[in-house]
Amino acid sequence: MTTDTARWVWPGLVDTTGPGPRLMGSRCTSCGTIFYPPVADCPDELLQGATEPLPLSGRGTIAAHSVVQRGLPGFPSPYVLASIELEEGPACIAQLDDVDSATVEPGLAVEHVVGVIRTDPDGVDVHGPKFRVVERGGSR
Amino acid sequence: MTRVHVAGAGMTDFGKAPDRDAFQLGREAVWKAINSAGIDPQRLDVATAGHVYQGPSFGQRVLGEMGLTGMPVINVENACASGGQAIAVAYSMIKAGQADVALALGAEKLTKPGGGFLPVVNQDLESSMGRVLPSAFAMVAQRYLRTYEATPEQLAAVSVKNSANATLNPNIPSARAYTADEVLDSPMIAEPLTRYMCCPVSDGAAAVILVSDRVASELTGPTAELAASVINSGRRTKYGIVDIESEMSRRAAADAYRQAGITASDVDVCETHDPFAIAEIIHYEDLGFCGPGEGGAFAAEQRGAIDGEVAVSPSGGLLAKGHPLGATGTAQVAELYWQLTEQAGQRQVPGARIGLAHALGGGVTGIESGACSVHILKQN
Repeated sequence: MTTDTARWVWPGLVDTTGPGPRLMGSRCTSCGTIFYPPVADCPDELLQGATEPLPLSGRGTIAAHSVVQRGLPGFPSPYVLASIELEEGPACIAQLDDVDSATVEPGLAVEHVVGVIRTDPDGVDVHGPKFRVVERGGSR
Repeated sequence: MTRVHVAGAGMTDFGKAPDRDAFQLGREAVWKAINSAGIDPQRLDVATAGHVYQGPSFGQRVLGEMGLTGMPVINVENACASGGQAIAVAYSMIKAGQADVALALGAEKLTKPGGGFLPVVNQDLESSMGRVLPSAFAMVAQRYLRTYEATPEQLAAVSVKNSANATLNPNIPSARAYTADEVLDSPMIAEPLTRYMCCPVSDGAAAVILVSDRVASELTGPTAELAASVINSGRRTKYGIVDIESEMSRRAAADAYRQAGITASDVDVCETHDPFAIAEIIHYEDLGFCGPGEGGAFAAEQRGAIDGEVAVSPSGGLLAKGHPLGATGTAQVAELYWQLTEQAGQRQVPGARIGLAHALGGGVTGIESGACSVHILKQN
């Protein structure tokens, strides 16, 4: 379960304090550039500590994808990896959740979900942001 | 300011070396380089050692057993460009007058005893999310093919060329020339990349001897000028490692061409960073051998063959040699040294006068890639 005690793949990617998990980016308070994954400083302006956390819509489109037939130990092989262009502009690489790889193509709409990224050697699931294809005719 | 020259080179076989560790591989490459240069090993002023996974003081552990002790030994890590970085550090020290004779070694043991591969420890976000390199390059290929209407057959043409070149290279015992059908029909690793479009996992080491003008004039063996040495790091690009051009390669090549006073059309022979067939196609464009989107046709028309416009990966490239991280960059410059001094045997590029070596890599989320090295050699 994705409670406070859950093990996360990376700190600060998902805010679980609200009613639903939110994908988190950051925004420079000086130039307005939006970053995902979130960064503390603004690398565009070389400004220390210039960004603030920014909840993202979690919506995006697929730029490219690839099926990982045999990933590193602990990963749920086979799984689908994708380069995703987020609605706010940045692109990221993440796993697709619960998807038939044959149906994936560039331009497909996806949305953020929290899922299991891998299982550590001690048997504990590691959670993090994944993306799910948005059903045609709207999500949720 | 002195110029810098490559005065000797040596490498081990590249492939799986189950019975040898990185120290043994390193020593073989260093002795071969010293003997090739015909130089008294006591004259070494500095040694650099490029590697990624071989542990602290790797260079000293290689050289100490040979009796090469006391001089500064500089261990350098810069991911896939570690070997290029080792050469760049040695180059700078000779340029600065701090050394007249420098050894640059690169070595890596990627396979482990008893089979299987070393686990790669990840401190990178995208890697932690399950991003493995064959899939990253598959996404590059997918985007490239779609954007430029390129084809899997064009990807296969790169593997056909490099696998044939490799059979002419005595340092690749596993070399075999593949037909296009064999490449396309080999097992799918990450669509559209088949097994023969991906480099094998290899162990290996390679070393070069660099010298100043003063020492070069004393040596009787052939030398080649190291006319440009460039290292850079990646910038923030939107798609990072899955972009269909390499901004940092373009920038490094432009800087190197300027340093050497040449243009892309002057290059006769090139060892580029081709761990996957799609990478070589993109780098034809990045290095200026053809325009954006023309790399697929460049491959299909075999314009990068040994007797083509510019011979690309005459050694067999990473695709055939494998990519023992730290050794890749030094092996590339070794190949260029042999090509420019007419010691490349059956794979000799006729009339090669100018060579370019390009290495690139290191997945760092947020920037294109960790490091890129470009070196240009000129015939003396």
